Amino acid sequence: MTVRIKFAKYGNLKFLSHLDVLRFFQKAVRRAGIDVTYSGGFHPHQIMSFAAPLGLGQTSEAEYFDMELNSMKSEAQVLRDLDAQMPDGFKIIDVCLLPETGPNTKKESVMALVTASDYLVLRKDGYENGLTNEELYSKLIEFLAQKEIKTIKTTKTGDHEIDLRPLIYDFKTGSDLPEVSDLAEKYENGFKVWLFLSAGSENHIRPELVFKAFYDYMGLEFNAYEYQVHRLESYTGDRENLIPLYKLHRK
Amino acid sequence: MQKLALSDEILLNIEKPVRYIGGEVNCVMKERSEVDVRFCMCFPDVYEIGMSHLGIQILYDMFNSFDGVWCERVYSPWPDLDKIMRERHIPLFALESQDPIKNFDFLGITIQYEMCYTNILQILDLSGIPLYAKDRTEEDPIVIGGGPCTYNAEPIADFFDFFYIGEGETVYLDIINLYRENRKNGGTRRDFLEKVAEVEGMYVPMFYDAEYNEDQTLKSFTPNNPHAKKTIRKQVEMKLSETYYPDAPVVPYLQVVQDKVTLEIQRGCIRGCRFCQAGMLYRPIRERDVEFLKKQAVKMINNTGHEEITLSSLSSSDYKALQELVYFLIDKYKDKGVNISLPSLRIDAFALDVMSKVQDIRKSSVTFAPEAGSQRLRDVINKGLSEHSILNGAGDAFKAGWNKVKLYFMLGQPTETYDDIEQIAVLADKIAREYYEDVPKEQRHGKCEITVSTSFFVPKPFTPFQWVGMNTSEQFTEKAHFLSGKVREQLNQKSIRYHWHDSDTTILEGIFARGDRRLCKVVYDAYKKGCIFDAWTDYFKPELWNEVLKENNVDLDFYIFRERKEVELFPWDFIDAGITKEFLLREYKNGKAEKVTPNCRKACARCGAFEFHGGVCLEPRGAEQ
Repeated sequence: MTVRIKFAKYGNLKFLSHLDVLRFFQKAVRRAGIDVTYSGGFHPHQIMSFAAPLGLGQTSEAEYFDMELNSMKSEAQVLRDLDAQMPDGFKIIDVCLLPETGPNTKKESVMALVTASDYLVLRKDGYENGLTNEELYSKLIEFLAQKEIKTIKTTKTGDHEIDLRPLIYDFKTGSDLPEVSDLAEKYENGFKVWLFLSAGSENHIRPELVFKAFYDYMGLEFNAYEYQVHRLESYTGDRENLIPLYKLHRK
Repeated sequence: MQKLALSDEILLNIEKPVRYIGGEVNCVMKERSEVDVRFCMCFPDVYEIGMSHLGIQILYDMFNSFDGVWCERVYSPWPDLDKIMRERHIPLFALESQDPIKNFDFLGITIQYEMCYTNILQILDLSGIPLYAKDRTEEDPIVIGGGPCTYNAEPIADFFDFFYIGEGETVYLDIINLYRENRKNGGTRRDFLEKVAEVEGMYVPMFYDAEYNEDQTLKSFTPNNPHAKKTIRKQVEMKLSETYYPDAPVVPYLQVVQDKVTLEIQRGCIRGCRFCQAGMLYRPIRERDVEFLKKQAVKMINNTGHEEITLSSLSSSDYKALQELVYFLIDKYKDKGVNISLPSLRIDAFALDVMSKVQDIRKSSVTFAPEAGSQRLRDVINKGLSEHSILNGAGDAFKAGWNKVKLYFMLGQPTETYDDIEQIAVLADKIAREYYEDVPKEQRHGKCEITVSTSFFVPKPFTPFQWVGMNTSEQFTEKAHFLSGKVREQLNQKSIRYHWHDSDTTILEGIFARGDRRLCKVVYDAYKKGCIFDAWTDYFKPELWNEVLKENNVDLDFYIFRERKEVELFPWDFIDAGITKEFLLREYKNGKAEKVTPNCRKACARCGAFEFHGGVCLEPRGAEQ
């Protein structure tokens, strides 16, 4: 059987690399006494697959991985046992048993499911660019009101010019935004922007790319360390019908 | 969540920021208001090395079990962060609280190898603690040294307030209580050190004066303070199954060198190899009770979730209940994804059976450490491993399906001739013949692979070879080239590979291993010139070290190349490590006479460790080997 785990990574543990996170969960699952399935061979490992890795320095309350189990009492029990092993900086949010796949059906890959993610972008204290929050918000609204936003995206295959605008599904600024998540970092300056962006293997747009284009638009130098990115959720489906990953197999 | 000492921007601009954030599973957090003694434990190398060290895990657990004491950790900041901390004047901090080390009561540094000496100064410097103990004030932490190098810590003596000689489990609580009492009475730093000096095993370097003869050898080494003892006897924990051992070691997020549970099954060694310092220092051998070890293994695996457990000791095969312990672990964990590793195992039927259960025979290798190529030289060094047992072991391994053998040797041991060195190549070839001549062709898996590795011999204090002259760099290099040539002359040379390392750090190791106090200035100057991370090939700067050695007129012949006289007073002679100088000298002479000394279980060699009344010294003899 396969369970899908949703977890948060926040606070100081934002400095863990994706590889550190994989290693952490292998050990946490063993500590929790979960009846996990091991691969064969002399170096057995737990069978886990992770969704889109988070960039170093970013926080999230919607990380996902799928894990093979031999048995379990209930989803709630797995959630409790695993969450009891989480240090400050990790939190298990949801456990969902996936429907059995037939012998001839390919298992769904949590990585391939993701088509969109939404993020909070916060401004760290101690940085100055001469603009107030309100001024930045109105510039951002102006920037996103454009019909087309040409920018350069760097990928493994090189630099490509893309149009960002259709890949930005939605956004909100400042007071238009409801209460910020408890798990996101807190800053005194109060700046906050919500971005809903295309994600996944086809058109993966990172919030930094949007902000870089925004700063280019304003004619200012962009410093990536100035902003804190926090992932709120990852979604699957097409743009008109996006479903949060954890709800996909919920009745 | 703990506020970090470093800003996001710094952490995101350096390699592996997770080295510096603490907060690992099982790390110990305490309320600042509920502790009155802050202790910071340091391994002066990078996090991944330091976190792999068992000694710190044991002491961290012990200190944190003391009421009112909070023990934290610090490791050497990697050169990328080192540079930023200097530029921005950021004080070095402990991982748990992220508080500056400067504000701690104690900084305890474990000293495992000579090539970390400049890193000790880096730690002190970045912490804002004066490098020389004499310059420290009441505001500075007390700086303690521990670990194997403290058995001759003279080349770094000026930088420490005191050294704890011996095993840490015994008297640290007494020392903490002395500190509390002294503080309550308004005593000074010096008052405290005088009290410490009266505790067995504690060495306060500033309370001693060294005088030298005209030939530069040590003339006398005497206390200059009435509280200091004339000889300092090492601390030994005799009840290893009843003392501190962590149930829940800290689990690093980062992949560290020893990313596994380490179970120390025994301390000490019965073998008495004459080059081996550990085998002499940790006498007598003391086994931990097998039931204690089983319980401990289960607790540690449950509490860490590690996927591997390793049994640690100098010679695992000498642990009497080894089979019981190993089969227990295999039965319990074989299907739970926990692997078992067994270093320092003598290759015999049992070892091959265990290895076939826990390793992939096709990929793994069997390992022998004959240390010398000829039986003659093995007798000199008292390495009780015969050619017969090596060939039998390798032959059995080949028949069981292995085809990889690793062999470890040392070059430059006393009395060594070119014939002894040639025998290394010959032995490797004989092993290959076992494969090609005794394993039927249809059962072979391609060629066999024999890997020969050599290191260079460095004479160490408290060994029978402490009098011996060391080879020069040129001799080492020549010997390695000679061996390389001899390997190529063998019939099965295509199946033998030979590896050896540069001798640059070997010479420095040699100087510091048997050096005296006058070398503190050398370490200081090297650090000031920019030497750190000398144990790392990419950072070791031989040209700077050579400059410093020259500027300080360090006579290499005096420190390492000469054969020392039997009557010479050594800088470490004031330490009583349990083994007597008479025993060491007797063993040195036995070595030169190619005379083998039986292991502790066969016969007592009257080394002096009987004084501790425990371990093998009290076992009935002759029953086992």
